[in-house]
Amino acid sequence: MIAAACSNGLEVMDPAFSRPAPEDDPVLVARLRDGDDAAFESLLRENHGPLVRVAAACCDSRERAEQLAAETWRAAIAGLDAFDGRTSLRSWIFGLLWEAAGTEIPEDDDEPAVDPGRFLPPDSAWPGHWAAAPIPWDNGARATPAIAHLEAAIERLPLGQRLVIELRDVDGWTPDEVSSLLGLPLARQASLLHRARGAVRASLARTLTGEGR
Amino acid sequence: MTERVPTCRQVVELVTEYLEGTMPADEREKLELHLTVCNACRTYIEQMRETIALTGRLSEESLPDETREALVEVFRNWNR
Repeated sequence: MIAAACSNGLEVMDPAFSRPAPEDDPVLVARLRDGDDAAFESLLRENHGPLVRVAAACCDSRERAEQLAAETWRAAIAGLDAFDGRTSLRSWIFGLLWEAAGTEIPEDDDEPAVDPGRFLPPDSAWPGHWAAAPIPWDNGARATPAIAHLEAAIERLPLGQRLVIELRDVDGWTPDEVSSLLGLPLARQASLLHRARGAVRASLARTLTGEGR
Repeated sequence: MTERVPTCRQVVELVTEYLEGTMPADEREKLELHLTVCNACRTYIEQMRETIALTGRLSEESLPDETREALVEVFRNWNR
């Protein structure tokens, strides 16, 4: 995907970058059915982390999340012969977890991504324009403490926003893959992603510059 | 979206659509026109890009050796 240089000279990824499921699924599935340990370990290494992350959003403890992920792998192994290839292998595995978790994404308020108080009111000379502009970030955004803060900010999001931003922006799933897994219409998924990104950006801005305090 | 160039508040609400590339061409043009004269919105959009890039680089959860070994054993037993 295209890398764009931002104003401070740092390269950032094009936000449309995604890592959809590999196209060589049939080859991988064949190797798994042949009992290829290396293929299974590779699948495990690639997907265990993201699986635990989704499980953690659905469970009330880390321990339960790890258990759920392990149970999902066992179910995937047991069901390999029955896997029909209508979805990607990755989507199928995550679908097993999602079904086992029995989680429902609650309806949430469709709040704006940025506090309306940050903009000038309708009766001002410049309605809808920034009352206080975003404070520019220095290179501090890439510092380790800021990244740790980012993880915490994501964990504080409402469930739907957290799941969507983790699958889309952390794990690189496509909009269709995420919508299919979570049972969300694309428009609702886009709305959740928009508010999640806005909240995470705001949290980072508060940490880096005190903006919004 | 109105026929006019969007306000800053509207730009903020459209940012995901803009960055995802799903905005109609005429609306994209109006938003980008706004960006040519609004440093604050350019800053906001760059910060949103940076946030997304950083999110994409969050560390992976580790795969504990014990978990890996146990599951590989399950896999081996399934295939016997």
